Amino acid sequence: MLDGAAPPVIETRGLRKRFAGVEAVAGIDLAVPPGGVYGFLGPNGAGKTTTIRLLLGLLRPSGGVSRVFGEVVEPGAPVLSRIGALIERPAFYPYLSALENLAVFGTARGIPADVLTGRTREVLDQVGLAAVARRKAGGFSTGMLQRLALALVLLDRPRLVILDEPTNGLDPNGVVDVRRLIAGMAASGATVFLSTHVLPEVEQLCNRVAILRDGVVVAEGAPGSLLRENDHLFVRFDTPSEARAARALLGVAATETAAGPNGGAALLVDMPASRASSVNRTLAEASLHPAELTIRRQSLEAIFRELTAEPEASATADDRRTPTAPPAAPPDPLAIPPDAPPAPAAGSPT
Amino acid sequence: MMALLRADWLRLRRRRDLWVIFVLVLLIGGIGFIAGYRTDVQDPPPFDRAQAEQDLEQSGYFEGMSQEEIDAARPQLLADQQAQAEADLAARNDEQLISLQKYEFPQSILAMIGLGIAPIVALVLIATLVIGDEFRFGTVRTSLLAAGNRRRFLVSRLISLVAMTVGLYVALALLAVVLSFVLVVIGAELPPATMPLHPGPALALVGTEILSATVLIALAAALTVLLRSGALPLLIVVLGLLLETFIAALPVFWPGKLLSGVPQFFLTNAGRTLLARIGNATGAIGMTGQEVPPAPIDLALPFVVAIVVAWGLLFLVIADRRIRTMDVTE
Repeated sequence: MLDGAAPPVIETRGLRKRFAGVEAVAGIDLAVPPGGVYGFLGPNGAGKTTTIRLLLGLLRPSGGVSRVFGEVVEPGAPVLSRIGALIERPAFYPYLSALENLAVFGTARGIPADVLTGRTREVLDQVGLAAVARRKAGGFSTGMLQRLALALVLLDRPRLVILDEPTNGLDPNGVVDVRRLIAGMAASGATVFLSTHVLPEVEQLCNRVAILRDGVVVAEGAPGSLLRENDHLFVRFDTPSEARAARALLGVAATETAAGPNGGAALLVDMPASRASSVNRTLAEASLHPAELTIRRQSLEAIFRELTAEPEASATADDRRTPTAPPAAPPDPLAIPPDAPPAPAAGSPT
Repeated sequence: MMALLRADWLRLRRRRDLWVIFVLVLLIGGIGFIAGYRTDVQDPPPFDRAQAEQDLEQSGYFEGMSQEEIDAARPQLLADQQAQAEADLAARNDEQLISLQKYEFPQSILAMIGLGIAPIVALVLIATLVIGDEFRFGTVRTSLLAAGNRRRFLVSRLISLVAMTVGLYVALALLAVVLSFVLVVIGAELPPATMPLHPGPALALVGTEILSATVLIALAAALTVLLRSGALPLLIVVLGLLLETFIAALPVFWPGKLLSGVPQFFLTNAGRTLLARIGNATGAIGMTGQEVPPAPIDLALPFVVAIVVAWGLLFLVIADRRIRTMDVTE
């Protein structure tokens, strides 16, 4: 389904948006491949909704460019009518019923009347609003409006769907239904660009994610690789003196941590799982023999919190990942010569 | 574009407030028509000699006169009053022979739509409601996304509003025809038609009415998209009219042909001039003999039309520019 070689469906280069002195989007580079679900994460005020409005041509960029299906996005660009979008706080004509709202917007999108008649019923059924199809949208709850907006997105089966917090205001059943719908859209070949706070949603649905903070992308990639990048190695020794020696050997990457129920002294080494064998070898060469060497994998939530925390609190993590300010890498004491044979891992991921 | 217009029709036909405005305009037009007929058809009360005598006594006219002098003067005074009343009645009858013709077809159509301000006010209100609600409800973003092209979105709204304008005037014209017919059917007093309408100017007048309404719709649209509101533009229109009046009064303080001619280029002044000049040529009863606003600079009719059209184009350009470049934050 995912095609890495195909041109990106959404592409932004240095996208910026400034509102009255506040830079809401501060230079975003994105390349969303066709197919699958692309997660767009970030805390409140990170610039997600502004980015989405820029992608939908609702806002004019202060700088940079965005392209959808290869066409430059600007207010009124023809390509916009090919996007199905759910923008936060969906708005409908309150004096029209759900059915009539879909008919109006569907007609405006150029869907023929005969197709619309059957399709509106079908999508309202899909989003669970069939029973209230004739009720005026003015009396709908937030969750119902959200469902109606999804019905509108589904109406003409767009190849690109942009969803801004689609599960906002939904009850747990609604959340599950919407996730199923999103998965269904992706399975049918559409590209879904999903902005959300709900990390389990991302873990369940997304093939790739971008994490936004203060208007810039601070991390991007497949959720699995983001998790792997944030792996830590847990190394436990029987004696504190071994731990101290190992820490001196491993340098800044190692920090002391609680040893746990088995006793001794332990280090947490900020290195991915792929480095486990080289850590083990380095320690062995120094006659340091860990009692335990395991991979500690962070949850996506922990990674999100670390990446989107205030700069003072997470300077190390941010400096490592902010693309606009690449850090100077410290010397790696565990550098493996290119011709060195791979060493077996001493532990197993937890 | 057709898809957008169809969508507008699906949407607007479900708006009760617009129908209420529509019906109210027809109601005001109908009531005005009937009330006008009742006033015009009413004869002055016949001369009442006893009442006239009593009025004469109470008027103080005879104060200081002897009874003999009063008795000598009273019959003459009463005879004069009676003659005056009979002359007034005759004049009134002659006037009625003309004025009542405006309730007959086809004069009734122009009597209904010719000078009514209600349709114009209603159309400005409808325009601000139809466009302003897009911002009030936040549907502007969904509408713009559905439309794709923002100019098409604006044009479709304007076409819908102009269609409503035409619809409103057609409905008023039909109402006039129906009411004329009703007057005939119920045997209302209607003199024989002697005042023909001049079809060319009559059609031009209807066209001018629609043009004026369209220009005001463009003004309402421009203000609405500028202010992202439906209510503020109405206030601005009122303030604009006051400003026009203020500027029009300036030549009183600084006399001069050039300055006094400035108001001729104002929208309301040019519109009124246009309607009055064309109205005078229609042969429509009640429209002929209208006072044309003062015109220190002699402008030919096409030039006055051009002024009105230019204002309309200016409003359209502002609305178009605004809608195409604005950030939608709703």
